[in-house]
Amino acid sequence: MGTDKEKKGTDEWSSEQWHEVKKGETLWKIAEHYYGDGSLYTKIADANRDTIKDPNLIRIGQRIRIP
Amino acid sequence: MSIVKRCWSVLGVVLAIVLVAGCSSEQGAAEQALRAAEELINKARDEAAKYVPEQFSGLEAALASAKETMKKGDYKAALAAATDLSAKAKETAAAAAARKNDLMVSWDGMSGGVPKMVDALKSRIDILSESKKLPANVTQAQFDNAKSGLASIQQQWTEASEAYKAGDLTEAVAKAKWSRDKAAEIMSSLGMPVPAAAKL
Repeated sequence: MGTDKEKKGTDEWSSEQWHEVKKGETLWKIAEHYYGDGSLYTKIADANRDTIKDPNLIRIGQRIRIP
Repeated sequence: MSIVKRCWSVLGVVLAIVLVAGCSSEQGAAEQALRAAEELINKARDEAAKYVPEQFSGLEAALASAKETMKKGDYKAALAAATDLSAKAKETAAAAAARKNDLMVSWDGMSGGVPKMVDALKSRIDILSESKKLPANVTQAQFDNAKSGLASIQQQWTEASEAYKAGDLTEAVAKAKWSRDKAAEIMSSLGMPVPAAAKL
């Protein structure tokens, strides 16, 4: 019989990474944390175009996808 | 010749006929049972040799042994062996079907999931390749390993898909598992979340 991990549904295979914005964080800082380089914040902004209209305006508690 | 002697002669002939007839009937039953068993084995051959090869080898050896017993004229033993073989052939066919189903379930899950892991990894590696410096939790060695590992995963995944198309489920699942585990290992080393279905 296959192991449980082989039989799980498609949601179990989600490879998306999410970040919840904390007080004082900016997209630059978040990019620095995940990529080591703040100037790559545009990658995050592009991946969240539906929820981030202005990269300078993110709010505490907002969930951001990290590509 | 006296009447008594004549009677004994007739009785002897009758006994011989009964013995020969009995023996011939035993031989026929054994032959028939062996043919039936061999038919079942041949029917199970393709899938069983592919999915439960060791079990199938044992079955073939048992068939050869039953045929040898038959040749030696031990029809009673050959009949018993053939009867046992038929049951074992059915068991082997069922085991092959179960193993195939198990592999299909594994493949179905991984064929949808592993490409998602590969896409996520590729995206992260592409972004990190543009970075002026790596994140604090990733060393240059880890990043280099991730890049070469991704190429290996893509190669293995291509081979897994080809094996699946060629009908070799065992090989397809083995290569898919390797790809899944390697992708999970690299994702973890880059600080990415490993999908629940791929956690070791």
